[in-house]
Amino acid sequence: MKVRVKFIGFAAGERPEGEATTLDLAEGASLADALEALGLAGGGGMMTLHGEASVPAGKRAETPLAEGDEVTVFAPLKGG
Amino acid sequence: MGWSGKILRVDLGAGTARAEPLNRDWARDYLGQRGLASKYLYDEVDPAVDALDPANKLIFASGPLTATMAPTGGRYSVVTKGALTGTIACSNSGGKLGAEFKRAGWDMIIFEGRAAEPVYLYIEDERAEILPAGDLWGRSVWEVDEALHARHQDPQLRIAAIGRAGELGVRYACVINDLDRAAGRSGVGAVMGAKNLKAVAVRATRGTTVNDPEAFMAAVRAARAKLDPHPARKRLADIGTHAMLDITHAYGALPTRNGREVQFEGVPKINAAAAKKPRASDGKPNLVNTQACFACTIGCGRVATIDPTHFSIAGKPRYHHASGGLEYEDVYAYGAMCGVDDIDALTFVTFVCNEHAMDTISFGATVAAAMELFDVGAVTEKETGGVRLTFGSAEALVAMVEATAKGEGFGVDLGLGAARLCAKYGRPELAMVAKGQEFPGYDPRAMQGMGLAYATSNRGACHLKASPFTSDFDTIEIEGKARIVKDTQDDRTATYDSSGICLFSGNALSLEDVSAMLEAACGGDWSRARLIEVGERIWNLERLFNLGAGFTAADDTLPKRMLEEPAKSGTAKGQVCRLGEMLPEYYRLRGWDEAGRPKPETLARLGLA
Repeated sequence: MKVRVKFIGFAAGERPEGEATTLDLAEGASLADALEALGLAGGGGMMTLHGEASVPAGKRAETPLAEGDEVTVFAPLKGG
Repeated sequence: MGWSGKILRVDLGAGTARAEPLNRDWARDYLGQRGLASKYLYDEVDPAVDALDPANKLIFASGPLTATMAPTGGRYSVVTKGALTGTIACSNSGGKLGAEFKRAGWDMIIFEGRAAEPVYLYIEDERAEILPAGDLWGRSVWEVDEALHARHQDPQLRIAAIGRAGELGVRYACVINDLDRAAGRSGVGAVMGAKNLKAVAVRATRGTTVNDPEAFMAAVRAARAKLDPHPARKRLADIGTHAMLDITHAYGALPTRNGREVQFEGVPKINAAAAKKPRASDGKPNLVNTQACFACTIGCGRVATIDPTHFSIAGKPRYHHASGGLEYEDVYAYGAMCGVDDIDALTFVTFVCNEHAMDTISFGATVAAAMELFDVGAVTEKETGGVRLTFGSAEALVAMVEATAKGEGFGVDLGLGAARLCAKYGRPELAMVAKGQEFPGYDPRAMQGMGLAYATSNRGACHLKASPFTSDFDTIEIEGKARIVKDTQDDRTATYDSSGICLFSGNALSLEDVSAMLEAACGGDWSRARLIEVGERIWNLERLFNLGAGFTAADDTLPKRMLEEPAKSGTAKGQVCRLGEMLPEYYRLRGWDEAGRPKPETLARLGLA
């Protein structure tokens, strides 16, 4: 299944800032699986949205994805 | 060491400037900068005094790591009773000025009384003079900077000044140093203006000493080894705080059109990516460079230009150059909050706020409140002088920033700040404030911890006095938020606001890293536990000041909109801020009673009884 991933708040060269990437994942894959496929398995303090819902780090493994879902990954910024 | 050991006490009424020894016992209990200056203010000023009365004092304070090689060690704070809020105020700034007066040999400068005529303070190492500034009164920060550099024939002079706004008593007037670095919040510039103090100009030829140079450099190298390669440092350098706009928008935490909404459709036109796009007119982007403060290895500061064909600068050559550019709070406050998606208009407002020393957050949020007053008919074109003050109008925004800076027409009302403005026009509930200070760019309905942080901040709504960001972007559930807010308030108060380093270094450094630098610089125990204890002591001292000023638990609150009007979209769609559920736990964790007063045992534990 294909899942769309957006990256927000990353530096140039770190991730395709503001652009969406499409991931091809196995059926039944979770949000944690998507992060692993992106090389972000540890999370690194990053925040995630599944659609418009925030998903805490501890809930990613139990958040199943479906064909056409959109995931947003935020760089961990504090303040500003 | 770490501290210079000297304070400069300037009696503006008497026209004297005298050195006195730093109270070392207080330095051990309050560290420096915000903490130590707050202790002096608490001991010397009646909290009930009017902020603009000569009896109020204004303190410029460095920390023990200011002007050292500690990464980001260039910070200072301006501490006073705030003109906007009536609370204790502590406005933190970077640039070069703080390091300069520390290197000149002064931990703090305390201004007392009111000068009979406009003056400025000139410091050259140990020599300090109060000099006439009649010819500078009425002039902008930029003009004062140029004039003083020319007068003293010294290009390395570092200058902090107020603009027209501080002279006119704009409630959120700030102090600008090094042309575009702001001690921004709570109206510290209005206090400076009320004292007839136009500027502080400093030239240092000395350095700062530390207790154990070898240990200090080892601690600095260790800190640099963590900070320099850290991804957060790269992000702040590359996209600055501006990066936050896409995050809060996507999350649904971006206060928009005075908080009626939490996401702004104009974000793609004003975000960090837009600032990097070349313009059609001259092929240049809005963002042309970056800049760093003293000893900073991050460099989050932006340098920008305005499209030379933009209406805001037609016939105004002084804005046809690069100057301090857009930060996140700017694009929030007069972008999303006002519904304006014109990046050049926003940059113009930032330039004018720097030029005349006005706090960008409070200005933008006040215009947003005025736009809603206009929308509901409480303010009309009769009051605005014919300006249609509608959400989304870049033309109205540009007109209002100039009117406010010059004290003309409806700008006089805008200079009151959102709370006084909305009260004047009979709709106090439309002011997005806590303790009279306008919200920064994080909506408390989506960021519950931030809502608690706003309500309990000792200087009014503030996003920098606690750090619930990671938790808030993780979940909108409130469990554990009171603990996070309380603990990070204590951490930040001492570790960053009182030491002389920038809180952005905290993206990479731990309390232990800062502790190692402080112990080497100052000597003695500055362990993690000690820093937290000092932070808690400072927080409670500030609370005591505010209680003395007449604030009560009833002031630990948020506007009705945040507590009763659910967010319309985003992660928190349908949610309100659950402040009432978090506040009792926060009081309990603080050791305060139900009325929000520190209990006797809490005061005794912290040495405040």
